[in-house]
Amino acid sequence: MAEVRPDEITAVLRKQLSGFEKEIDIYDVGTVLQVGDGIASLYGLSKVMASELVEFPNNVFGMVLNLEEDNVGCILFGDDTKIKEGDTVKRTKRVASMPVGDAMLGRVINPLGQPIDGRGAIKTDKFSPLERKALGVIQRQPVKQPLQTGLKAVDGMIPIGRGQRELIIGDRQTGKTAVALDTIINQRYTHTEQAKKQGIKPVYCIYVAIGQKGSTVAQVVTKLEEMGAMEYTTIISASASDPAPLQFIAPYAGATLGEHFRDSGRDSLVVYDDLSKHAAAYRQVSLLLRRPPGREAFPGDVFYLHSRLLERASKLSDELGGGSLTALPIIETQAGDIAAYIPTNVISITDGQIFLEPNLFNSGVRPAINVGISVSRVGGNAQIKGMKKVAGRLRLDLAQYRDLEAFAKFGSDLDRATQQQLRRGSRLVEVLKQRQYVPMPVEKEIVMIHLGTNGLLDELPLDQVQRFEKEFLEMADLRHKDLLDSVAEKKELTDDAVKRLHAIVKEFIETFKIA
Amino acid sequence: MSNLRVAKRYASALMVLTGEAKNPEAIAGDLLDVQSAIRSSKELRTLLASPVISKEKKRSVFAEIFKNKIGDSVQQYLASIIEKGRGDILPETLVQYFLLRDEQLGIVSVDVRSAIEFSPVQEKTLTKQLEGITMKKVRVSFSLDKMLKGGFVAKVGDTMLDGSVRRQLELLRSRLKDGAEPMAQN
Repeated sequence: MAEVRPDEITAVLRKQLSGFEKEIDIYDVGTVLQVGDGIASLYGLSKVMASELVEFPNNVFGMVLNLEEDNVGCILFGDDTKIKEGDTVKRTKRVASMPVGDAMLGRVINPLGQPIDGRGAIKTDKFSPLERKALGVIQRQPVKQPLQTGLKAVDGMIPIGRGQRELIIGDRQTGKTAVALDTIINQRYTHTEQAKKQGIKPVYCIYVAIGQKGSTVAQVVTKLEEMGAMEYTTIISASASDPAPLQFIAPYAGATLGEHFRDSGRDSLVVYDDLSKHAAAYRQVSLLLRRPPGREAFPGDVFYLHSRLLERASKLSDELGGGSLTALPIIETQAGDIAAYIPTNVISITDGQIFLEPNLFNSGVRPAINVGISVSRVGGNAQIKGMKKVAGRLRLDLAQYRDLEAFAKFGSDLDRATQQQLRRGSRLVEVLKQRQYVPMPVEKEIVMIHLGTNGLLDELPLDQVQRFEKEFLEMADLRHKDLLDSVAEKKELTDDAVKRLHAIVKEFIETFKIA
Repeated sequence: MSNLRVAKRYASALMVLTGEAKNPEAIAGDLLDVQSAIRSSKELRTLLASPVISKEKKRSVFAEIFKNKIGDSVQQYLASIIEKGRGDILPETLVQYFLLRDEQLGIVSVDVRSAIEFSPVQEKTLTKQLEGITMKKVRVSFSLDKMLKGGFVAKVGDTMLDGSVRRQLELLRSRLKDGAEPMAQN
C-alpha cells in the first residue's frame, strides 16, 4: 500500500468538512404503518412519485409501487426485519436505478448493482434507471446481423438476429439453460481478432438468474469461467432466498446493463432465466400490496410486466451507433402446457420460440428442439448466405421425414423413394444432435448441414454419424483449414468449395473405419 | 387504514355542516369540547369502540354527557354517527375534521423539536420565519429532544426542515465514507 502523508489527510478532511456549516437540510418524510413479507405500507410522503426510491433506517431501501388515498405501498430491497412500525422513511427524489459500466463484466452482482462475488467494489461512474421506456420506431432498424448460438439446429432452422427476442420454452430438465449457456459461450469467438477481421462485432452477455438455487448459479459461474466466457459476461443473481422484490427487479436490471452496451454502439445479449419465476415473484408482491388477482392469481398487468421488459430489446439505427440488445427469455412450462397464462403471454410478445421437449430429450435428441413448432419470425433476414442456402433444404427434408416417421416401423415394405427419405431424415436428426458446452463455429455448421442434406452421410450407419462428424471436423481443422476459413470469410459455400468439399469427404469416408 | 378513509368522509361531511351553519366557530368549539372529553376519558373511548354495547345505549350516554353543553347540530351529528355504527371512528373523524378546518383557514401546524429550550423571543422569531416560508399562518408546538444534540428540527406537513447537529453528523459520516472509497482501492 502506498504511503499516506499526514498533510494529504488534512487536505481531504478539510475538503470533506468544508460543507459542515451547512444551512438547514430539507427532506420529505413518512412513517411506517405496516411492514413484513418484503413490503411496507407508509403514511405521509404525500409528494412521493411512483417507482421512487425511498430510504428506511438501517440502510434499507424500498421502491414505491402503490399510491393510495391514505397510504403508500412499497417493496423493500433489504431485510424487512430491520424495520419496525413507526420508523421514519425519507424520500430520495430518485427513481430506482443501478450503476452501469464495463467494470461489471466478469462479475456476479445483485439486481441493485452491488457485487456478490467477494471480489471488492465495482468502479463505475454512471447510474441508469431500472425502468426505462423502450425505444420508439425511429430509433430502431430491422434485425439484420446474425447472433450465432453455435447450435446447428438453432442456427440452421431457428436463426436468431442481433436485437431479436427469442423465447426458450420447455418443461423442467429439457436443457433450456443449456441452450442459453451455449449461446453465451459461443460469443467468445466474437471477441477474437479473427472475428474483428471478418467484421463481426463482439457481443457482451448478461445472464440474469431469477429465483434459482444458489448452487445452480454457482455452477453457471464456474462453467462460464472454465470456458473463458466470464470475461465478457455479467451475472445478475436474485436467487430463491432473496426477497421477492429483488427477484422482481432483476430482469430490469439486466436490461439496464444491456442498454449500457447497446447505447454505446455495441452488441449485447441478455438471458432472463426464467420469467415464470419472475411472474411468480411479481404475483407475490402484487398480492401482498392488495392488488386484485386475475387469472391464475396473477395481477392484471402481468402482460405489461413482460412486454415492457422485452420491448427494450432492439437494434438501434445507424445514426444512434447501431448497437443492439438481444433478449433470450426462458419460460418453464408445467407438463408441456404452453397454453397456460404466462407462456402464452410471452410467446405472443417474443419474435419466436425454441420449444424443447422432454420426449426428444429422453430419446437422446439433444438439444431437444421440436423443430416443428419452433420458429423465428425475424432471424431469417439475419442468416448468412451460406447458411440460408443449406438450411432451406434442411427444413424441407426434416418436415418430410416427420410426415413419414410413423411408417418407419414397416421397414422394407416401403418403396425405395420413401426409404431414401427416411434414411436422409434420420441422418439429419443425427447431424443436428450436439453435446453441451461445445458450440460450433458457423463454417463447420454449414459444412455439416451441407453434407447431411446432400446425402453424403446416407451410406453411414446411423450410430456412426456423430463419430464421423467429430473425426471429420478434426481432420478438416488440421488439413483443410483454408477451406473452412474461406467459408467463414465469404460467408457462403461457393461452387468451388463444394467441389473440393465433396472430394475431401469421399476420400475421408474411404479411410473412415466403421467400428 | 380503511378507517382513515371513512373518517375522512365523515369529517368532510362535518365540514360542509360547519360551512352552512350560522355560527361556524361555535360548532368548532363544541367539537373541540367533544374531542377533549373523549381524550380525557378512557371509559368513553372504550364505550365508543365496543361492539357489545348497543347503539341506543351509546346514544343515550352521549346525550346525557353533552346535554345543554353543546349545540343541537353537533348533538345530532353525534347521534347519527353512532346510529350508523361508526362510533369507533369518532376520535379519528375529529382529528381529520380539525386538519381539514386548518387547511380551509390556511393554518399549518408545525412540530418543532430542539435540543435546548427556546427563549420566548426565539420562539417568536422562528414562528415568523416559518410563516414566511410557508406563506400561511402557523401553529407551532415546541418540544425538547436531547437526541438532536444541537439545533432544531421543524416538521411542516411531510417536509422536515432539519437543522440539527445529529443530521449534520449523519451527513458528514456518509460524506467521509463515500470520500474514503477511492482511497481504499489504491
